[in-house]
Amino acid sequence: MKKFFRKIKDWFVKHKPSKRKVVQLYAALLYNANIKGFFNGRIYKGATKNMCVPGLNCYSCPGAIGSCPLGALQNALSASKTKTPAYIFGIIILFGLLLGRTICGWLCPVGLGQELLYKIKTPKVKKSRFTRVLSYLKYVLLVALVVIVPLYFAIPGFCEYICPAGTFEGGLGLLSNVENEGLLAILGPLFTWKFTLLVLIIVASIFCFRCFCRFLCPLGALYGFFCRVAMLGVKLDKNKCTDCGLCVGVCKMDIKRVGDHECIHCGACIAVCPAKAISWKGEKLLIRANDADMPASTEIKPLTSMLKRKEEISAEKNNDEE
Amino acid sequence: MSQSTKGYKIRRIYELCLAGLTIEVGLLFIVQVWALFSMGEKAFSRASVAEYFVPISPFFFLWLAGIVGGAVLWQIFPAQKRAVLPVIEPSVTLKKLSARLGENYQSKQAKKRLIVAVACAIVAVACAVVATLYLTGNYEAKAQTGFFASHNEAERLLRAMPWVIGGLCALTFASYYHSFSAQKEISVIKAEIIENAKKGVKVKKRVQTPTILEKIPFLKSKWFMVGVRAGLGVLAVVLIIVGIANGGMADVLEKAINICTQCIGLG
Repeated sequence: MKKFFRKIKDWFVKHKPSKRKVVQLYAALLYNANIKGFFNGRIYKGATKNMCVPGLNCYSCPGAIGSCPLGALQNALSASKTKTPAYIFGIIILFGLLLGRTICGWLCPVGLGQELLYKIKTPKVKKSRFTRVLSYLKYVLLVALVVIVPLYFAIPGFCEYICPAGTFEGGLGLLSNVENEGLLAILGPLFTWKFTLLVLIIVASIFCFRCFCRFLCPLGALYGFFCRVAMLGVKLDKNKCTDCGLCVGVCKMDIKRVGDHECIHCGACIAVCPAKAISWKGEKLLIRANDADMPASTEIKPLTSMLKRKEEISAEKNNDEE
Repeated sequence: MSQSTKGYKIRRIYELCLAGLTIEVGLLFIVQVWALFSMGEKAFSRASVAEYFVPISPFFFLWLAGIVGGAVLWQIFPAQKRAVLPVIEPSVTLKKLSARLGENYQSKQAKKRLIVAVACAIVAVACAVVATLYLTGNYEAKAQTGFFASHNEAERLLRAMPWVIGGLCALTFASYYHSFSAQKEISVIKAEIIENAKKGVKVKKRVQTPTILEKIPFLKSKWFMVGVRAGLGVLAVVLIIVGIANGGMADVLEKAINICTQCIGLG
């Protein structure tokens, strides 16, 4: 009996969530802290909705206590003929400056959902040049649906046609409550399309890591512009880097180098770098270097060959200087 | 058959079965929602949703059971630790290797890569322009019955989509061609380096031309970044204050406290 309980304990210790997962979970719960809304089928109307949450979280979710930055941006652009959308621009610049795409890796509930779905044991689609090119689709959606459509047609294009958070949190969250039976009767083609897209994204997320974040999310595209100036995130010391490629190899996002616009700053690359060239920005203030989100089922290739390569490179540099 | 091989085969079979079941359950949900929608106006109700989705619920629960079963299976037949394989861009390797051939090395493939890149960029830009015109131009959708009858902007999006896909295809082709061409050149360069080594030819390494950042050291300095961050921070705060003053914050609240019918699919 003792052995059995010890095995259970060992299983929990082995499978305990990383700090990043815990932060993601806390963020998701905090963004949707209005538990009462899930029971009475009504959305929160408090003053905290003046503020936007950093990640993607539909403000029509019964539990949402803050606004969605992407939805607020589209609505502000829709009304931009009468009012300059200064407030939402300021909020997005502030989030981008402070956190950048660290929001995607640590504070987005949609990202958390996708990562949990990816844990389902199926064959996985590996990243490739094609996925790298496809990752630029989110910039196209940013320009077309988040900027052009609201400006020209005064509707939130991304929210209306694509956003799975709206369909899942807002749509299914509200419609599943008996109080909102009346809303069911007015569902039509748009909901059918959005529900189809939601199911496709959920299925795709099981096979492809964070497919929505990589290919479709305009908020990630927006925060990606702040990759160089963001105050938190991973950074690469180019003087120590030996271009061994292990960081890019272990990363599941479509990065070309650590900390670029595709990097979600999960920290998985920190543990695999043999030259210790990757660290956290602001590590003295907030995060210790060993809090990386190291995947449990990987091991680092023998370091001897990498260290040998590092010695060769420094020997070449010395020869050049002579 | 060793335990690890047996475990690997069992895991693979399980993965493929679960993948098939996942796709099947997804398709069932999609088919049922479209079947429900096709019933006509006011098709969605608690009773009709139950009528269409309860029959497929066994598949859904089977899928859930499969996921739990997978977790148990992985405990019985744990997966082996996989080594992390490095991924190095061919262009990085090409730059380093070609530097070893000295100043006189002229790349034949580089011109071809440039031509293909420019051609694909032109195609991508053309597709982007056409797609933008479809989105914003004076194109008037004909009154049609069917799915998009009441959504003019939706029809614009559908017409712009093939052009977006065309642009992405052009960029994909350029990316793959670049990689293929770089790999080809790398093998030629490696052969030349080995040939030089055999003949005992010593070539002086090409010195890399400094980038703009290296020419202006101030751009790489810590204070430049501090200045940029401070500037952006001040801009953000000023914009927020202006936004509060002109009622932008109140608009955000106004929108957020009412159900966004577009967001949840009501249109």
